[in-house]
Amino acid sequence: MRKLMGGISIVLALVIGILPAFTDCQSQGRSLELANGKTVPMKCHWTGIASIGVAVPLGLVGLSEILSKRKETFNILSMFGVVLGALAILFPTVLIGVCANPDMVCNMIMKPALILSGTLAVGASMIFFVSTRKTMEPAA
Amino acid sequence: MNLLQLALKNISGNSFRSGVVSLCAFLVAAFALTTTLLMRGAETSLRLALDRLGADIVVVPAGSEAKIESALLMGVPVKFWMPEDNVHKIAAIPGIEAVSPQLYLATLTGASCCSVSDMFMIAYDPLTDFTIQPWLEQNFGDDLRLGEVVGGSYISATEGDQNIKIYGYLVTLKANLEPTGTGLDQSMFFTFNTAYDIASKSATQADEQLVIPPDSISAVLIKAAPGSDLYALSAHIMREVSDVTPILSSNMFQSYRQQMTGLLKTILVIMAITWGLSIVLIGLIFSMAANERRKELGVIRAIGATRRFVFQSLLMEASLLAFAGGATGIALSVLSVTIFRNLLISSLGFPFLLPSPAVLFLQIGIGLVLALFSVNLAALFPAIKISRQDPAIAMRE
Amino acid sequence: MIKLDDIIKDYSLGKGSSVSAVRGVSLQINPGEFVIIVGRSGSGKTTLLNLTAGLTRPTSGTVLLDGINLWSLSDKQQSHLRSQKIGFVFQFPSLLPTLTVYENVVLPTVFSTKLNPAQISERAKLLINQVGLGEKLVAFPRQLSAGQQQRVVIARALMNQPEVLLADEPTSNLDERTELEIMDLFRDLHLSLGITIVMVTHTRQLVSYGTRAIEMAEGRIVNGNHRE
Repeated sequence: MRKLMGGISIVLALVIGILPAFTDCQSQGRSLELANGKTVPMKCHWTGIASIGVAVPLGLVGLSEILSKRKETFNILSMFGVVLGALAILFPTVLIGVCANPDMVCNMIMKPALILSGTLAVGASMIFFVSTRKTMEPAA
Repeated sequence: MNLLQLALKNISGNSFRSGVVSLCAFLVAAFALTTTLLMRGAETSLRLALDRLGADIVVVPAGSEAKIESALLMGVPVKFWMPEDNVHKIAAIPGIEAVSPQLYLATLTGASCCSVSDMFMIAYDPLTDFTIQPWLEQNFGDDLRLGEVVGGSYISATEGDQNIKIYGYLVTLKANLEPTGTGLDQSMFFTFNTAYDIASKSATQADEQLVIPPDSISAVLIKAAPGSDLYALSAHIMREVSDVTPILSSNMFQSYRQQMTGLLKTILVIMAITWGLSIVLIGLIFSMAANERRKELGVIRAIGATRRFVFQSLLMEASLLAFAGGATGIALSVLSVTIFRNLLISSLGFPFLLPSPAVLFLQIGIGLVLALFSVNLAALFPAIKISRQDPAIAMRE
Repeated sequence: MIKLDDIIKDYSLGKGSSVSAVRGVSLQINPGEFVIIVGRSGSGKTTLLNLTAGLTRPTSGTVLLDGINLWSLSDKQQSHLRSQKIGFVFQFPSLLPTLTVYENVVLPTVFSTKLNPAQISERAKLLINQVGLGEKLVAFPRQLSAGQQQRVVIARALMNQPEVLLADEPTSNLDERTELEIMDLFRDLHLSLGITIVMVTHTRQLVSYGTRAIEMAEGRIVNGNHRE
């Protein structure tokens, strides 16, 4: 069970960390031109950077879940998984965001993929947290 | 302890088998709901687009039928022209209640980067219009003034709170229309006067001039008199006006409908195969499970369970697995279709709108019922067989 | 009281042939007796026990439990009667593997009971303690020895306070020492509860535990007091 959850966390971490690099507007050659002629990356690029900040700890959480021997440790790691998954959802939606144009690749692929990965991380962590707690409690 | 608790214990006793049954239910429910969301959503989009159009017949230059469909459905900007005089010729035809010309324009590609690019702009004649005007009167009580625009649901202000710059001209976004799920959500509506004003000032203000050929329009929208034969009207229009194609709104988007129908047929075939294989697989698994637990079920018969209890116990397990798998499949389906909507529209080539919460709830319910029905159907025969077995024979080696 | 009247049980082998497991057995067992039925493998003793419990339908003859013909009842009535009046101890490991010791013992109350939940819990714990497994309440069957599992089965069989305990070779899978422990338990239960016990076994040495012994061979009673 722990190995399965750890594996899931690592896979999701890879998606959250790597996918934005290929699906933000910067990777498609699009940037924002300011009035002074300078080119800067757009919000989606910063969301991608922030996602790396979620992916790395999530990957470590996954590794720790595989190696954890104690159920209490696993429960704490699951809670971390919930928080990191929530951040993966919040970065592209509320905290930073992506471009408004629905046709942009960040809107079509990056944002939904981050939301989906984050949701799966939250959902799986919660399920494993609850089921681990149940096996910890004594039966009738 | 009760039937439910016993069923849960049995399910957890063999996670692999339970996982496979749940997975089958997952696939059936997810597939069914995704297909329903896409197909019904596409139908709804088409219907809303036609409602938004408001016309019984749209007359466009000959050869532009595909272009106008792309523009309305997918928001692909188009430019085509025909003589303005066509409006008068068409208005004179008996059986026509109202006619109104429109101009179709496009923004510069990437002009206002990251808000909406490649906007499809529709200019209408406020004196004759019967599509946008009623909506404006209902919501604002007056018409659009010079420089004011109404946008589809995706249009947002990029210059300050309310303004958008197109062709170097600052327009004021007065309101947004309800979403249709189509390209009309990326469209902007304004009056002919605003269009001509933008065109004239773009010569000095814009990177590229907006050119509207003189005495030209893009399309004529027609409202037929009640009881008119639309086909006869179309034929009459083609006789009176040269180089035009009248498109009946009921025939609008035919190519998209055909595309959808083709896709639907393919999906239904795949779904039927998936469903059939799932039933067979689940049936096999339950048969194996019933056989493996033959002695155990014989024991519970011996200690007082009725045949009905054994039967209900197996179907309860089936239902729980179906519910778990089906609910997960449905949740993932709704989530994926919602968040990947733009990608799906781009990949499939036709738009779709997500249903209202009430309709979605109903579709989810149907998906769950389908999953429950499928798994219980598959488990039915093994459950009947094992529950009817003589307990003494069941417990024999 | 249990009464079997001229019971015949044939099993079909297909293609028109059959084998007779029980051939015209008549037997009466009175309340409070501890009857041990011995016989070699294939003598029909297990089939006789199954017929007594209503677990298999006789080809002909009647099975009466306290004057009620078992096969005149519906499946629901028969199951209810079995749940209330008969406890069964099987030859093979018969605990449900996904349930704990406690859950296995209370299982008969799922089908019928006269007790409320608090009484069920109290009785289950009492029985589990009586069979010497008080500290194994939350253990699963795979965590118990064969002898311990059989004790749990006995506790389960007594959960609904049955009038009759039917035991089908309950010690055949046990080593000699554990076998004697289980037999001692049966005797203690018989003496303390006054419960009627019908046990089948192929081990003649166990006959001394009972109040009456019956021998079966080739589907018939060949020895013993089989009719009052």
